[in-house]
Amino acid sequence: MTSALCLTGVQKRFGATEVLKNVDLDIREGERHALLGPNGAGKSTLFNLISGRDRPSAGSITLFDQEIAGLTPARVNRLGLGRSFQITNVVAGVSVRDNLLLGVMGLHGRRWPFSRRGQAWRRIEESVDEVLERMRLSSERDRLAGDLTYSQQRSLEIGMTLATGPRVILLDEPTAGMSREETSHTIELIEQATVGKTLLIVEHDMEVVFRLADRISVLVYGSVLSTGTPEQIRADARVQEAYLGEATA
Amino acid sequence: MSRVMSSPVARYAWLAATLLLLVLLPLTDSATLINVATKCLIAGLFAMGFNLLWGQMGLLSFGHAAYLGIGTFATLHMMNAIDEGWGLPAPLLPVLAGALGVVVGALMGWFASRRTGIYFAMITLAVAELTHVIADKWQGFFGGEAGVRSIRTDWWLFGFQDATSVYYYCLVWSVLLVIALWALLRSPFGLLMYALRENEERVRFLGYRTHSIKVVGFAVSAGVSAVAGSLMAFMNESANASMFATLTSAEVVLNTVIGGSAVFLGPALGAAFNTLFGYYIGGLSHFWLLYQGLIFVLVIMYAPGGLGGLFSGATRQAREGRLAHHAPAYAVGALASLLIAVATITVVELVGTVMGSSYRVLRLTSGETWPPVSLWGIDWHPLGIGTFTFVLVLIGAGTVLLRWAMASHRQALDRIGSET
Amino acid sequence: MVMDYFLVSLLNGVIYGLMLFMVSSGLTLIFGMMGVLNFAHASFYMIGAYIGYLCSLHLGFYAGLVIAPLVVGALGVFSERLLLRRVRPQGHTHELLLTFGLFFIFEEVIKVFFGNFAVPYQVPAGLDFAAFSVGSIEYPFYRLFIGVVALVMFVAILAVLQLTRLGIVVRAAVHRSDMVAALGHNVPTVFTALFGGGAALAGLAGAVAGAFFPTSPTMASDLGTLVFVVVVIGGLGSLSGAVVGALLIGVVTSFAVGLNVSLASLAASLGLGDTLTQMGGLFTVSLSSLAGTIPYLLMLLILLLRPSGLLGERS
Repeated sequence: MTSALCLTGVQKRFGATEVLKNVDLDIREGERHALLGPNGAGKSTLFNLISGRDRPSAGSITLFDQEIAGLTPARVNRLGLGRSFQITNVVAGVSVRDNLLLGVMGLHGRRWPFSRRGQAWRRIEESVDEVLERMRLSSERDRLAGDLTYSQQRSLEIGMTLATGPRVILLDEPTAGMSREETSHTIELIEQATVGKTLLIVEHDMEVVFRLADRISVLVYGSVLSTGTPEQIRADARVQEAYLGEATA
Repeated sequence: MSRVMSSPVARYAWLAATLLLLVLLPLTDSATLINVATKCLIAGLFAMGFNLLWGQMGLLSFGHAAYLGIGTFATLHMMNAIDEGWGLPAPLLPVLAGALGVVVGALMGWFASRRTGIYFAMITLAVAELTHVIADKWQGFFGGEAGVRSIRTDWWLFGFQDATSVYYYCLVWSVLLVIALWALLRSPFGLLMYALRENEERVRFLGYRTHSIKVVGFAVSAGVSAVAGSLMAFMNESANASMFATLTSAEVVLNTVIGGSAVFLGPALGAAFNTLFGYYIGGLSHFWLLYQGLIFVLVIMYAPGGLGGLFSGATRQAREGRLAHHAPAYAVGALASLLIAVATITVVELVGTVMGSSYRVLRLTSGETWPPVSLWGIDWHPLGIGTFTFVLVLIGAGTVLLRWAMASHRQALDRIGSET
Repeated sequence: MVMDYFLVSLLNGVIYGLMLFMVSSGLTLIFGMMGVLNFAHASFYMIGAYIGYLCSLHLGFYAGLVIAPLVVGALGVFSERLLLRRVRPQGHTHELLLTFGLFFIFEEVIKVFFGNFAVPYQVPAGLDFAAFSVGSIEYPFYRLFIGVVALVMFVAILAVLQLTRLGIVVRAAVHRSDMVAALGHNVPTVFTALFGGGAALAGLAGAVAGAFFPTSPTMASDLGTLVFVVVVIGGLGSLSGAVVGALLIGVVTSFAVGLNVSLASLAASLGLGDTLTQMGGLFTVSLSSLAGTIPYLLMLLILLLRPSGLLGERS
């Protein structure tokens, strides 16, 4: 099986603080991989390094065998990696449809779009409608993104990430702050939307993680403690001790 | 800027009426009016170019005088070249000046857009100051204190020797560019520029090189400003380096804020307002700049949407049939503002006159008394009880009425809020 | 001769720098704490000079040195409480624009009262003598006086910031105003105090310097951009940066004014021939007249290479 995203010896220091010590991670193409870890383990930092927001202090990150460490976010996105944010990060002052349009235009190579005409544009409109449908936001298409409910904004957040058509998708706590019902709905959306794609997801909800993930990695104190199938992780004594014990207590 | 637009029919009706007015204006046959209107057009176009950066992308430039000036001086030199026999069609001068503006703007924008917020503004300020110092000293190109002079040359069927032809020349170019700006803002690229203002990081993670988008925005903005400068050169047939002063950059900020940066034509409205204000009030009072400054601060504090914001707010209320609820408050508010304005103007004019040198002479010749000052057709005694009473009563009454109007406006808003 | 010129230029530069610092210190602290770049700050300097002038006419020069900072400080408090605070909820841009408007209003109000031209604000006779002479140049004592006032002020600011409770809160608030508020300090009041204090310092600078340099309505805009340059170079929000930036700009402008060579003549003297002279244009302009570009070039370099400034901590 080929590897979609591969991290070797990744380190990140902020001043004197070492947030990531030595991270090795191998995400296989097509799998749903969950990242677990207590608060402060460095999950968000890791996402920021992969998606190009920050540059690792050392180590290598490859996306389909191409080095991406230190590239700009725009470049990383164009190479096929999309991410969502833990704190809802939509463009509040434009409509839901326009938010998705921003994502889709890039996918269709329209990064300098001066007109709304032609074949290409029709395809863009269709893609937007498709994402709207998929994220169950069709009825909200003309509302300002800032006026949506919290969980609708979370859906839009994921929708924008998907709209750029990434092969590898990074979702940062997509269900944070949602009710049980909304969570299960969102997970359903994620399951449908990531068929045939590679997913790396940070999630605190154990139920979600064990339901969704093909494999799980546990990040503790800036390095990967263990990687394995949900069963292996559940059975891993070190993980029990470092994380699950604490969470279930 | 909210991207939810008002009803198109009403909007187009307003636009058509304005355009018709502008086209028919030369029928008045008043050379003064036509000249002032030409100045309004140029200042308006300049402000529209400036606001592409600010209103759409949230980038505040304190150095747009540089791009206006580049357009002006490039055009003056091209006009001189035409005069010396170069076969350059006069109507195309703004195109070349604009192209130069785009190139310089792209270069400067590349530097400035590396930073955001106040640091962006400081870079534009530094660039403008640099340009100003260089323009001041480089006599060969900018002509020193005397400046550069040139003359308009007729082209083909078009003669440009009277104010009306210059007015139409500026009108055509302004309308064309404003339409182009409108198309740009309505295009998906306009959406990108706006999204970048709100949430640059998100746009970056959607795969866009946001720096490039800003550079393009800056270049277009500088290009439009350079065209405005070119029209200015065409109108005045001369310019000197003083147009690069900070004041020019400041004026466009003032115009845009007073007009309202969130309404598409707001900056043009503000520029026209301030130009007319400067022309007509400036003719009446030495202290018109103070009044303009006061209006600016009042707008910032009480009407952050500017004149355009007030206008579009009122039309929206009228359309939704809510204007009647607010009308009493607006009327009383206007009356209160008038009272306070009259009191303020009285104080400023009296103090200004009394402190002036001609009044000092008057005092000396009248034996150190306080001769009355004439204003609004009345003789005011500078230290008289009547003067103080007048001012205090006006301010007192104005304040009471204004408070009532604001409270009533709030109540009306609450009532509507509870109904819906 | 060269040595004399060098010494005098250096001293002039340092003293001018110290004066720049008097105005810049308040500006940079206000920015650091409130995030507002106060366009009207140099106006406080101008108003201080005019109040010093008024006092010198009626109450004497020294009374002006006390009254000017008090009045200008009060004006600062008034501006912050009644005006700036109202637009704060709408964000920094609105605050910036408001100070921009105040800058215009202050200049115009001064014109209403004092006219468009400079007023005869003079150095008092008691301070108007030569301190010493360097070669043939007599050095005015009053320049030294400006320098001493600035130094005293610098020490006073440091003492307030280091030793008083207010100072500790201000220093902390420059770093993390949210944390300071969470700790129960009344941040808005500290803002007001800082704004008033900064204005008072600028007012004192105006009252002192206005007697030596021309006191005119344009002195705010003349100094305003230079003060921006100082705080940007030093690092927005950094007091020690303002010291370094002010001295640097003071010395650089002081030296450059005396350089009477052009790029072309420089090239010629280096044996590069007359190419540049023939090219004309900018190359034949004398360097002293291009001296004005140096501060802005420095500012641009800093903004592009190290936007946090020479001594600033944040970017």
